[in-house]
Amino acid sequence: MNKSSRYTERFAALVILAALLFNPPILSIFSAPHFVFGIPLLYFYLFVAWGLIIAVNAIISDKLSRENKDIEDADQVEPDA
Amino acid sequence: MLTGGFIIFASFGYIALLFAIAYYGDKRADAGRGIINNPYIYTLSIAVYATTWTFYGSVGRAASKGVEFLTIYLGPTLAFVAWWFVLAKILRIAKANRITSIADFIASRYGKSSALGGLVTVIAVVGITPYISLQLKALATSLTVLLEYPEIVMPQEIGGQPAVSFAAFIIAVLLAIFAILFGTRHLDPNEHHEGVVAAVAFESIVKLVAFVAVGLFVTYGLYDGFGALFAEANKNEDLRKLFTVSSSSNYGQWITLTILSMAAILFLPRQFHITVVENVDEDHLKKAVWLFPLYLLLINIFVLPIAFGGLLQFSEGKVDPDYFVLTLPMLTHNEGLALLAYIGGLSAATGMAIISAIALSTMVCNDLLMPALLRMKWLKIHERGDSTGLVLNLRRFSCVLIMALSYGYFIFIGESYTLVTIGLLSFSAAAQFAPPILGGIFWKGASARGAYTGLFLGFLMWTYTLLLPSFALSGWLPKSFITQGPFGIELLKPYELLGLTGFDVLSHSLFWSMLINIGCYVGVSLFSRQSALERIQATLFVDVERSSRTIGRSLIWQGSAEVTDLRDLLNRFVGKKRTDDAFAAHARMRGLDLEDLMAVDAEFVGFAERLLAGAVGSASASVLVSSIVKGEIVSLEEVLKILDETSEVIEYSHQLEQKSRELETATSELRQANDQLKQLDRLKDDFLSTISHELRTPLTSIRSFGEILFDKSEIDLSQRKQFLSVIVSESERLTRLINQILDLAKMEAGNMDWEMSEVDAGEVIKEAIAAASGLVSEKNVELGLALPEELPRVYADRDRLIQVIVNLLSNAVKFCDGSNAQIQISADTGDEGLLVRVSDNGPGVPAGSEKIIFEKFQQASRALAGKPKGTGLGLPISRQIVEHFGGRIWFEPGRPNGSNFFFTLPVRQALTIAE
Repeated sequence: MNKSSRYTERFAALVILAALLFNPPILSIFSAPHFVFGIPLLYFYLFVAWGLIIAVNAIISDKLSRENKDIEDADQVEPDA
Repeated sequence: MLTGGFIIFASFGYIALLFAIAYYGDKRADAGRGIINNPYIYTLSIAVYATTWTFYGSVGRAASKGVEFLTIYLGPTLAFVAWWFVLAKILRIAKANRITSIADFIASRYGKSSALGGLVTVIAVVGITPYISLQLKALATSLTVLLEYPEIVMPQEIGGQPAVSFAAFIIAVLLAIFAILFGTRHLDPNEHHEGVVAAVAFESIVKLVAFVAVGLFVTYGLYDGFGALFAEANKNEDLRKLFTVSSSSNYGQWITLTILSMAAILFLPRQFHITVVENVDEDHLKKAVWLFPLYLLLINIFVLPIAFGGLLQFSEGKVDPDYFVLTLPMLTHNEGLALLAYIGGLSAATGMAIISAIALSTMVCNDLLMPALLRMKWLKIHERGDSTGLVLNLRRFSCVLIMALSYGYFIFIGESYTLVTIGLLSFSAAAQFAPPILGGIFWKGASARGAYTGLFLGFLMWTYTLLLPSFALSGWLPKSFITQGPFGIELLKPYELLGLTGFDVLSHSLFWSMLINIGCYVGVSLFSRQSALERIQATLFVDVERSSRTIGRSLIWQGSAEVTDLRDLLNRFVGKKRTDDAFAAHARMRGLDLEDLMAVDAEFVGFAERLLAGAVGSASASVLVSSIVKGEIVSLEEVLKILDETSEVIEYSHQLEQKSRELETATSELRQANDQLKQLDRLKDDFLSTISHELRTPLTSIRSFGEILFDKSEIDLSQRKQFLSVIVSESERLTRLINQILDLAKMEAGNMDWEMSEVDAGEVIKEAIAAASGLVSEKNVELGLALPEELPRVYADRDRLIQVIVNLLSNAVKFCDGSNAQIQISADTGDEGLLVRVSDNGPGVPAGSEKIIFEKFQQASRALAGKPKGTGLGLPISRQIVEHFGGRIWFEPGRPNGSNFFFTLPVRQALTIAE
């Protein structure tokens, strides 16, 4: 129960972060006529932020399913013990 | 190579390949070795989200509005980041209730209402048909463009060109056949179509590969990478504008599009179907939640390069930016790549169209046609034989109907719009489902009436602010409908309703439809009563984790049914073999013997109904089952009673838990008390044995010396005197001992006569030292005294206080080492009042015994030394006295050895202590 509520908090924080990164006003900061590695700043920012959110989501979700698996394994072991 | 015949051949070849994959997938599934049971196929199948709109339309949008097209993919990313809160719960509910479509989901949540299911179906069909026709349009256009090769000509009037509309017609027919073959093969209670899913997953790979290939070609073939391409674009004034989001109103649209696409990825009927209904394992979701956004990211990387490449290569207006993906390879005569691009577009279109057709036909059949037919009693559907065929034929008919509608829309209206605009129309329609679904899974109070009102009015608002104006733009309605309002009423202008301006068309429509939808949904829910069934379903949905196990399952049917009736009913809709298997499995699970079973209970009926719902939807299943079950659906009062009883049971079990916890605490307290009592008992025994020992020692010596004196008259005087002095001192010791015992007993009983008065602490200490000086000098101990000049006066019994200090001193003397023995006595004023310390450099007190030494007869060294050196009552008495004065006494080990005894006495007013 505690574990799952910790994940709830993490996902909630990630959703808020993603919503902030993908929308104005933070977005408008990057809407400027500059180039990074020859790529317009806005495009560069959006794809990097996007990739970052996906990566963090992958890490949290992966951890969650691994912990769930541990719990299931533990459940299966218990009757034998 | 790119001749007309070859292109047609490649198209049919590709579609044939799809048939083959779907066939293979179904065969494997039938053999029990499904190929779709892994998260990667699941993710790829969700990527049916990327349609021709993504494949062709994104580039078109990017060419006119820059980076804004990304919102359509950032929204789903957001929704999938939030999967833990919404998607996971929807999935669990759908599995527990065997949901077959989004209409089924909503109908089931609101009391299996067939009216609501029908409404959702109508909205879905009206909203999604343009979207499917958009796929047909894109396909037909791309085919026409490619057929003109090596020329690059834009077909201005697709609908008018018989060849193109014929191509679109053939494609529509093929897709309908595909959907019928693989989507309506049999009635599956789980509504899984493994072959279709496999084919769609394959299509997702094809379109990704094709798009990335074109992207790489444009970026690195036509230009020297991203940098060079963007630098080239930067030289052009108009293109430079696309690098940024230009104005604040664009930000408004940005947010609207993000919200719309968040809703779309969850609530578009085809997305709901592929993500929720076709899901075979909940765990797949955990990988898909980041793999799917990753897919979207990959397919979008090259949108901007292709858009800029096209804008730079083609002179303005000559080529529709929507088809840059196709025309750029054609321009440079890369025939293979052009064909790949076309096949990619074909895969994007067919995947979407097939899944949409299956999802919509399931809804039309289960939530629109079936309930209607069941209502027509004269059809006697209840009494028919095998009805599987009927249901399947209804679905096939629905498939054809949907494809026909889409084709019709394409012919009559489709050409006037760009791809993205039509797609957004559908997104806005799908967004109408968000309030009843999201509200339905979190808010038990949401009622069917509220959902119905909200959906209906929201849909009307959508029709008025988006659909009708789009008709006007296509010439079906006069243009004045938009510019002047209907009948010239300015306030009713569909793009500026009630004079609301400053929004883009989409945000304007979203605002009004959501305002009405959510407002009515909440408002009506708050002021309407839920029926019994609604209440149960609400509980089942909202508390899906808990309720699926404890309550609700068997609540709905009160009575019982004949096994044969139930079996007949299911045989007709699910098929004999599946019914037999399912019945046997259920009976086994519950330990029932099917052979002997005549009538089945409510739980069995509930199980059968869910099985049926998987085939024909919950609303129809409910109607069908009610026709054979004897006994009514339970009334609201009864449901409430059952719910109350359940909650009472839960409450009761909580109380029991509480009680057992209390009992545990009490038990442990009792155990502690018992231990204490046992120890006290042992102490009492010890006390008695010690006291008899203590009394006997002096008595023995008195008696023996007395006997010597009595028996032997020849003893000389000096020896006689010595003996007598021993007798006297032993008698004194005896007296002292008895006095102490009496004192202690009196103190413990509270019968002590205290003579309390104000005393000078310094004087008392000095007096005590004087009293003990005999002892001290006898053992040759060095006594140090450190007293400050001023010591407070304390309120105490003078004699008793002296007794305490003498006790501590004699204790110290007793345990001091023979040589170099030192005793230090000091006094001070501290926080707790007067603090007196008596320390020595003796062996000290063994660790662990610091408290015991203040108990009666508990000399710490007794066990070690073997013989007692005192009565063992000095410290307990001292403690009693000090505590009576309101102070405390304790021990601390000295450094490096020795003991420190401390006691405190409060410096207080005489009055307070007298109380």
